[in-house]
Amino acid sequence: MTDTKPKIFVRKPRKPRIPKGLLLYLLPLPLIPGALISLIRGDLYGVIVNACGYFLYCLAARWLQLGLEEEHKPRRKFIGKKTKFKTRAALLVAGTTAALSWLGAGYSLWIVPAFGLGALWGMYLNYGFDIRSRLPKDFGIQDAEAAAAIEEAETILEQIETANGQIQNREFNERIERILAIAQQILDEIARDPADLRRARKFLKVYLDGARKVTEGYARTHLQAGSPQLEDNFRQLLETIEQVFQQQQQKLLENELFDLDVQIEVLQTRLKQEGLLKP
Amino acid sequence: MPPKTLRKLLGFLLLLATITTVSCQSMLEARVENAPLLSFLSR
Repeated sequence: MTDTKPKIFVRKPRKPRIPKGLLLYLLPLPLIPGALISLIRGDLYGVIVNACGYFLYCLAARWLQLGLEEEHKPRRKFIGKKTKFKTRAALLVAGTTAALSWLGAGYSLWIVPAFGLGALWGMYLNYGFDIRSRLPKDFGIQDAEAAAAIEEAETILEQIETANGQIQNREFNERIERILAIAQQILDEIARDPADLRRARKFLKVYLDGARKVTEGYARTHLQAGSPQLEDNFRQLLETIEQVFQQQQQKLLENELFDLDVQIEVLQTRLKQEGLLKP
Repeated sequence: MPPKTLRKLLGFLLLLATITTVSCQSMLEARVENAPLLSFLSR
């Protein structure tokens, strides 16, 4: 008899598709037979030009890949770092194409810059240059400061996650996981647009820290003195935090500074009432 | 066609035109007598 028990469908989280920059490995492939033909003919010059050309394209492809991966790690790994892999890769492709058009393909020097600029433009249109250069000039907060604030917030999220592991209540675990997911999205948003940090500073200080204190406090006490009253209070607080986190995310997206501050004051009062913040 | 796709297509065509042309030509010209650097230096 076959087992007819239905299996629970679990949706796997979708990984973001990161372009690999394979084009830069594929397009200059004719350089490999070029180097081989030169080798067979005993033409050292041809071997060097073709092999070096392909090597430089591969190096550019690797840099491009690093730049694209960096772009898909939006948080602390991106802010405050001055790596410019994509721009560097584009310049290398332009330089290699220009050099090859003269040294390898034998075009006249007049047409060489056209090849270089064409390749540079192609790289820009296809992959773009590094995002960091698009930061506004009037950006008031230092990049390092923004990165430090996000890193600090991520440490708090890890602490909440640890405390959540100690709580033996499925409902609370799920609620806290939802709160963590929203908080991660907020941090992503700040990392994408670091100017948001100015508006989200209070969120990082008050809300996130409040959520940590609430969760750690409950994780500590519920095993020793669990009571329905304590559970109810914790449930209500988690509901408020989740709601406020969602509002915070929305306001951040809508750039509404005033409303955000009002909401923060409300939660601050609530946390003070619960004795989780010093008055 | 969305602008992003158009931009990517144009970028791809530019890279194809420049890199492939230069690579293929370099493969065909890979001979000592045609090496432009040597002829340039020997002038």
